[in-house]
Amino acid sequence: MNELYPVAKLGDEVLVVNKDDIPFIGKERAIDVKCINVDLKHKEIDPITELEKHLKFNPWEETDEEQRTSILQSLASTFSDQEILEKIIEPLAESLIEPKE
Amino acid sequence: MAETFMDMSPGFEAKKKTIKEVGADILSRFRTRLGGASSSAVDLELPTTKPLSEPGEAEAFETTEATIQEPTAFAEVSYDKNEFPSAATEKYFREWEALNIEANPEIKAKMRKNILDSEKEHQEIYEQAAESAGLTVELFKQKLQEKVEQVVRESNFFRATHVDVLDKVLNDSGRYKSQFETNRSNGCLNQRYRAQAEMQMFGFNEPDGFDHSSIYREEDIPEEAVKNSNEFRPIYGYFSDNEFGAINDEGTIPPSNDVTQYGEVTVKVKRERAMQKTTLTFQDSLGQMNWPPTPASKPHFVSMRIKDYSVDGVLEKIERTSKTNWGSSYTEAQFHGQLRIDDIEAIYISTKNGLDRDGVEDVRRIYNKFKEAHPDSDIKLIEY
Repeated sequence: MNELYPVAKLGDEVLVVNKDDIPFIGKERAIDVKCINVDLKHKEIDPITELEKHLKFNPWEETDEEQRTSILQSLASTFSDQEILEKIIEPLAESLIEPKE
Repeated sequence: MAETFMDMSPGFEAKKKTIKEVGADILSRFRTRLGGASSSAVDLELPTTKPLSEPGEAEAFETTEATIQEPTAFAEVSYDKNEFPSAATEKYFREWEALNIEANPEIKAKMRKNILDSEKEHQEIYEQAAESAGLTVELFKQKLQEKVEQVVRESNFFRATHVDVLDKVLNDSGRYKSQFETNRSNGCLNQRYRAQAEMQMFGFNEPDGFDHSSIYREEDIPEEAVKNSNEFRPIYGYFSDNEFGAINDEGTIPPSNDVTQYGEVTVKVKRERAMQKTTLTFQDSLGQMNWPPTPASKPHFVSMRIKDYSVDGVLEKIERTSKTNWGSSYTEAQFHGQLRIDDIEAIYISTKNGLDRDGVEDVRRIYNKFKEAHPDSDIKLIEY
């Protein structure tokens, strides 16, 4: 619930989503699922964008549990709390999809 | 449209918090999960972020005074109104049967249907745009078609490519792969949305008589539509009239391309190959199935999305594909029937386009390794 979830990786880049949005991936509201592309090697955080666009343009590989833990640790050690909060957590929290009634 | 987190309904873990409070909560749990140690700010310069224009939003553009022309006799040309929404489209389809495109067999029929449906659906927008331009609808469509053909004729086709992907293409598989091929079974990256989009746009894996008009449900998409023939799925790129594949607000590099988020290496496709296997749209195709792709060798104006709140000066906006000023941050090309190394003309790299020195060295190494294995290949590496 409301966790950072590194859902896919490509080289040193990872796509981070809000874990609560995972049920919507690939389904009716797939286009509403937003992600943040983080380049761990170059220490860059891209603006938020649609997850489906990244998946369309590149052969991303889905992460497993071990990889996700490692990625989160890298995030924590690479970026400050302020950067993580302002550039990853808040944008994803703002774009979180509300399930329809 | 995604609801904001603030607008939570009572049934959705209802607490009224500000985004700041929620964010702090998430961060706290994030740190706790990683051992509970409080973080200290890392002594780094703030990372740079790639500017991204949000596709779909209206962007400022320069308008020039519309050239008002008197309607010509073209507007009075008779055509089969039962079959075609306009004389321009009837003329477009005269040589359709002779068109060859290297793609799934259903694509031509699908594109024909999509063109006709799209033009009919957007007739009101064309009427508004024509009125704004002081033209008849027929003349407007004729001029729009001429513009579309002209800018595509002046363009080349590119693929923004990640360095790691370039290595795999040149030194491993010999071709581009899509995420359909690299996906893990039973994972959470459900591919049905994109599978349905490719059915709608290209008829790819579409069962006979499949009805897209019903409300989308995951179970309505047959398994074979998602799993079959994935090695032949479209590979996505873009087109631009700039020599180095620039595509941004300036039409030049620098600044970096609006597509560097998808890869900082620009791979140019041989134009003659692109003409044989490519379809295109003037904006990202995601969620825009009613502005469908049409062949690069025979583009149609329905591939150019015109927003109902931005009909003024449409014809004047379409000047260059490197400088997209029609409300989209990039054009899109869809390469069919596999995009292979034989289709590649050149690889462009530059530190002015988001690649750092290490990245340039990496690409040189990848390219040299490729050339050792393929000494007869004519693919060029161009640094600028």
